Amino acid sequence: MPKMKKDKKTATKKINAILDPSMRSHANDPIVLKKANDAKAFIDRVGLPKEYYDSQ
Amino acid sequence: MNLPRYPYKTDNFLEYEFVSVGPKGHIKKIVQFTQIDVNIFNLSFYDFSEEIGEINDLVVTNNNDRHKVLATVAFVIQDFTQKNNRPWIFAKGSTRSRTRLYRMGITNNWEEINTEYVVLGFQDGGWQPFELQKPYEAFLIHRR
Repeated sequence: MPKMKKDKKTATKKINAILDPSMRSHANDPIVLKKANDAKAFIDRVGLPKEYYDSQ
Repeated sequence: MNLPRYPYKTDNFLEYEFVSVGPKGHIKKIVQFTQIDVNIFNLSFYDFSEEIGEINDLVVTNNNDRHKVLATVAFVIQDFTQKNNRPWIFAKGSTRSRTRLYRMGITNNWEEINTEYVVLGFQDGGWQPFELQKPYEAFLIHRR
């Protein structure tokens, strides 16, 4: 059987995180949401760099 | 990256947990990515108190393991950017000292970070390529 070549672009890189489906989510914590809103407000106020638009 | 770090876990590759161990005991740390714009995620980094069940994002705990904590966050960012579609990560501390902490993390690992990521800092009204020893208000990080 011929050996399959690994496509470097799709090769899976090692993930270091331990997967734990039982983790409690804090995504909806008021502090987390406030920080996200503050971050959005900052970006809305100052704008995004050219590098961001070039990457999209 | 070959730096000492804490083991960390995730459920959905948006939120990560690890435990800092030091003179102040075991402190649960959380790194949270929240989408705030097209392909941009805000990085939140905070302590979580199991005793009172609350987040604390204002404190700099100083458990005598700063380098290890920052290296762990760097590995978390690596995992996050690998699992998602090369997102931009926005990071700004809740306080100036926490923003300085982020700058310290970038500075301490700059050689490795610079080969893999574009790092921009916000200063004097504009985004500019990150330079060592310069203070910034916020950061944007993107995998090359």
